[in-house]
Amino acid sequence: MLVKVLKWTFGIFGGLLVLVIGVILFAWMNPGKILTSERVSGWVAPLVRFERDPKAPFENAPIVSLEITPHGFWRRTIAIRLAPGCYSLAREPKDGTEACITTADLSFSIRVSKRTYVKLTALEHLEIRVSRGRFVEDKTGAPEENSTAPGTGFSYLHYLDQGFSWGPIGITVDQFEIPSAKLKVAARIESTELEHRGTKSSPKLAIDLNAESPEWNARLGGEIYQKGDLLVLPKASVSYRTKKKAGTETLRLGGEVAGTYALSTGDLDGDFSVLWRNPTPDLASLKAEDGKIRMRREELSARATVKALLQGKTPLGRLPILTVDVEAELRQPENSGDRPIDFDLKIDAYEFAGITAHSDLAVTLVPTKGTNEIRYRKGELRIETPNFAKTIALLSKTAWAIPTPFNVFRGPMVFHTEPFREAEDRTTIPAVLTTNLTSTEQTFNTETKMEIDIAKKDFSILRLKVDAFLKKIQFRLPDYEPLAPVPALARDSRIIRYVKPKTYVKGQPDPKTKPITTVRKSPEFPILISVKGGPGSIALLNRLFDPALLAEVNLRTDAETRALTGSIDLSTPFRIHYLNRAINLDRLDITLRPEIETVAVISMDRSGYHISATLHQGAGKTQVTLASTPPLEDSEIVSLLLYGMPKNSISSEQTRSVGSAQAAMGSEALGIFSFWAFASTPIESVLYDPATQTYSAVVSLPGGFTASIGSSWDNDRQLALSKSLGRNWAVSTELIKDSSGVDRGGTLLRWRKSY
Amino acid sequence: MGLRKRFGLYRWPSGASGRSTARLPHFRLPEALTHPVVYEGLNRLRLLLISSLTAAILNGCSAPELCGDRVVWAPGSERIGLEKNDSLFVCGDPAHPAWQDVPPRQSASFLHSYLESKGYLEPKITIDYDANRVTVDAGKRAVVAIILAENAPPEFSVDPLETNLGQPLEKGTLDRIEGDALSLLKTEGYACATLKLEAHPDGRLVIKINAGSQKTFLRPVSMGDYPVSDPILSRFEPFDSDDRYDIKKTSIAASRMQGEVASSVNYTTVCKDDDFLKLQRSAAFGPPRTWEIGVGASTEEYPLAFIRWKSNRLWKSASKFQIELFGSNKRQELSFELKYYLSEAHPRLYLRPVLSITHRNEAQYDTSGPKFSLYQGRSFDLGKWTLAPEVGFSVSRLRYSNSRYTRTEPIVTPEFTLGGHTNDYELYRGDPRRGFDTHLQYTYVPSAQASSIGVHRLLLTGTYLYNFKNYIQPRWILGIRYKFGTLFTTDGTTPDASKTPPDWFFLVGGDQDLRGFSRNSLPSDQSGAGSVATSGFESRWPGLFSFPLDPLLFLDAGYVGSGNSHFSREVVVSPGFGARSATPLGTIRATYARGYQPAKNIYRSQVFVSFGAEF
Repeated sequence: MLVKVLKWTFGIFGGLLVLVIGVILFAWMNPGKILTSERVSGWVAPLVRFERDPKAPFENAPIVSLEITPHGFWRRTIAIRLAPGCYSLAREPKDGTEACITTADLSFSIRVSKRTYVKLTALEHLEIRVSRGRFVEDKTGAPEENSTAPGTGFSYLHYLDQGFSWGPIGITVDQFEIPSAKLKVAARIESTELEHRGTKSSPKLAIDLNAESPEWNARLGGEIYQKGDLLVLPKASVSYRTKKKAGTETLRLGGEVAGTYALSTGDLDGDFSVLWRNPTPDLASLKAEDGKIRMRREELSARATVKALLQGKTPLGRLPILTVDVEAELRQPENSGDRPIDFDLKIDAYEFAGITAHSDLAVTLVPTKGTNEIRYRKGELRIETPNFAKTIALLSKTAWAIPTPFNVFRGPMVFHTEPFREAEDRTTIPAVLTTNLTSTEQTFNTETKMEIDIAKKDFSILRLKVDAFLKKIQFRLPDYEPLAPVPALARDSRIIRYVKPKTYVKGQPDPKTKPITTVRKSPEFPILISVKGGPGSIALLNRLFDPALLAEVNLRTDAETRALTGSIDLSTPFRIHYLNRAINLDRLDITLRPEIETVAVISMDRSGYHISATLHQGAGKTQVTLASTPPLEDSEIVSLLLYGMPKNSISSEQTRSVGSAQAAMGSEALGIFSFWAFASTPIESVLYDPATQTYSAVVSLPGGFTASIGSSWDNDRQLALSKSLGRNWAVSTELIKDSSGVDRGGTLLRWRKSY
Repeated sequence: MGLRKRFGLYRWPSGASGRSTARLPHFRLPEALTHPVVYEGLNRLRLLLISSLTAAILNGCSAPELCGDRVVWAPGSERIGLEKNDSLFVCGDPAHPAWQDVPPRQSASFLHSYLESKGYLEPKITIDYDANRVTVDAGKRAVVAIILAENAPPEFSVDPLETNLGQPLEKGTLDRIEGDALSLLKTEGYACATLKLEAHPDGRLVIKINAGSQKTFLRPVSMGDYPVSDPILSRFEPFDSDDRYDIKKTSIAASRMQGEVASSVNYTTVCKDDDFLKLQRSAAFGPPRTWEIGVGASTEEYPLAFIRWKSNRLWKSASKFQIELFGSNKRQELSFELKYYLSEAHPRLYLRPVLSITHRNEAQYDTSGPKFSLYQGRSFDLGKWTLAPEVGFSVSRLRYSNSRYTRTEPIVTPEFTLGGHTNDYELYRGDPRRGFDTHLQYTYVPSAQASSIGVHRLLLTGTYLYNFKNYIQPRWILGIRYKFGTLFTTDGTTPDASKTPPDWFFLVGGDQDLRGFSRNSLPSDQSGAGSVATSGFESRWPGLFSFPLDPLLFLDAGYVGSGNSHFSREVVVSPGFGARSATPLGTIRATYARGYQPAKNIYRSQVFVSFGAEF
């Protein structure tokens, strides 16, 4: 019975097995009988939504055309062609992922294998052309975790026959849209080798990828192939360009990349060079050369030589290229889990116009949640000109020529940083500027210490502290003529200037010009300035000064108000000689509170009297306090001041001038310089107009000439009942009786002497 | 000459108030031609002519370059001279190595500021660094095209400033407009007004005014211990503490004091924001006694001269005493005059005794002899008017002679005079432009003296000046003057020369009334006229030329009569033209007129040249 059962069982199963083997053999030997295009299309149809291309030539062609051609017993060639039209997944909504295919031809050969059952022996042909496509992320399902290990998707190599033959490959995507990323992509991948065999490497594929978003365009063009475990990109050109928008500059990046990617481990090694044109208004281009990037599972590092071409053409041509060696490395996570990035920037030497710069900067950037922290490990910047005369010579006859009176200096000038100091929230960068410039008459010897506090979290400047110590500053003033008009060094603020818009379209109305407005925006961080110089540290030489104006300075910024306060004080009294008259400047204090207040004490000897005047100038007004030894009335002092004689020795016209000068002094309109002009020049007459608070003075010059200073006489026309002609002479309007006995005005030349 | 070159015109502003002495000629047209389009066209034509002429002259004269061959003018550019101090910064100072080599860009930068200060707002400056050369094209000079005012009080008008239209938009012009606008505000009571100026390159000039409120005068505070007390000084002040502030009145006060008691007086307003804190009076007093010698001339009275001794501050009341010896070809006089102010309580009330010995030689008669007069007077300042009445009497013993008789008449005559003028007339006496001045003189000879009849003598004279649009720099001044004089006899008879002092009769003709006739040549008979009425109209155009010469046209007309306000129907007419020039030594006027007296078939020409006389 058991045998019988066994016989039947074996008989049945044997028969079934034979049947299956027979079917398989039949199917293997006659695949076209089973896997027909209609049948396969019938399987596919429920899975996809298909809209046939109305221009397609075969209206009734199946969605999938399948043709299997046997080659002997072991090998088969399978050709698959999809019908032209748009395909989308049936389970997704209509506006979901879609691809409109113009051509999709695939032909490959397989053979039976012992180990992998089937091996691919040849990719006969692959041609896909997508005219339009769209990828919409499926948001309904839970996000799939990408647990696939690097290279898993590329294990197809195991299925390739040893003599695998690569046929022509051509994939073209005219336009593929990813709405969620606002991205449009076009791609073309073509094999560049006519024939390629083997499994050690794939054929080289020329790729041309173009991506466009509303903000930018990017392109990658080059060759790529797979060699064993590595995906090799021997050379490719890349470009990235932002689109022009109002108020922004276009960002253009271009460069070359090369590299390998290990499919199994995900290791990346690459070389790159990038050119960035006009990255900032100050930079014409930024070029990264000899760039290396290395990425491992727990490591990421990069280095490059960055060459910056500064914007603009200097009088000496283009500024030399600034070369910075940049290295960056992503380090292992710290205890906090943050992964710091080490940056090293090094400038070997940057030289321009005799000025040399060296820099070695090492910082660590720790990206944390929300903010970044920067740690300075090493910092050194040194800018120096060994001989300022060389800089002057190189820049002379250029737009950057050093102005007078600085263009005669020689000597060194050095700026260098000192070791950085770290605090919890900031890094302090100390720096020192030392000048030791001299010329025949001038000196500029200073030492300025600076400190810049930079926040670790956002790199903002927290504070700038400048301590300048003036060892000796001595300048020569030109031979200024006190009686000549004040030179127009500053522009008249009453005159409004306009600037025309840069863009002007021909044929259109002239664009409206806008007034130039100067808005001084003070920095948000405090700037603490301290300027100190001992007695005599400031010296001004002038032909009128005997021997020189020597001053000391002590200025500092108030930490609370940020206003500059302090004083500049005269160190030593000195004499001022002008037109055979001499006065002493005994005291000169310029105080900033922060409004400028000036106190000057001028003294002189006149006719046996010692006269002194204290001038207190502030808020646009000058208070004059007169004193004398022995004591005199103010009007007597003014008389001595103007004419060198007491009032009883001057003419009535001169007395009138004394009154006018006194009124001008009393009106607080007379500045220190004007007072000095009164005191130091031989005044003939003074006229004061209280309406406009201006004065006129006639000054005697050597050789009998006269000059007038102050406002014009024209404004005083209504007061001109008497005009002094100097000394006792005047032209005056008198009332003279006519023949009828009526007083009538008449002008007379008059000599007058009072006593 | 070195100094001349070095210092240019010898006129320098100080501080930041630099002012060019160059003036473009500018004139104003009658109202009919001041339509904006017509005016603008004419103005442009005028500027074009002037600038073309100037450029042609300058270019033709091969004016020196700015700094040798280092800073040069572009071909065709207007050439502007550099001031001494500006040259230091543009060209350098060869005396000092530190300032010897001014880089081209630095030169260009300074030069740009300098040209802007001269009104050249858009110069083209080219720098050739290789050649170390700066080439300058000064460009077109901007001019003031329109003056606008922002936040102006209703009393303020920019009309008086419009003479600046067409002037270069340079610092000097802006300074002048700024000062003048401030003066206008202070004239209207805005003592603490401030303003800012905005000048646009297209010629718009905007005056941004912060007028504050109108103020009244404060009692002036003397800024020193003066020899004249404040009440006495207030005698000269045409304002009271409740009057609306007017800076002109302080100028008048200062001017009056300077003529009487002080050498120099100035009033200064002290304000803090819009608070009028103080009105300061600062004065300088010279010695009280003065010797004066004066010289004048005209074609009417040949060189006239005087020697005067005066003491100005007699007693506490600051009374005045003077002795004067006056001489001209027509009048010689020695006078002693005391102006005695009675008390501090009434500082304006005075007694004025005058003793004079006079000799007059007119064509019609000759008088000589002593005269003593005593007057009491007081001045009043009423609003914009000043009135000065005087009443008194004279005692004289004059000797009269002419070709027909010689006689000596001792007479006592009561007299009354009333002078009146507006503030403007007084203020601009040195350069007449507006205001009203009149003078009434009355004397009486009682019948018991020279003759059996009494004679009243009345003389009214006056001048009115109108300044078109009240320009600060006048462009058209219209003047009208009149003279009305008559003798009234108590019995109505015609005044008789034999019974009336001959110098009481009226003589007309000359620069002061009828300019087509020589001085006092009408009436042509020996005795003079018993009544006269003359009127003159004069139109003067100051500022028409770049040099100080004002052309003028005039028409004088008048009647003479026998007295008692009777006039003959024979009109006397004098049309003419002339010129006035305000020179640094005083005003010179020259006129040419035709004199028409048709009734007597007289047609003649007359030329006058005067020094110091005004219309």
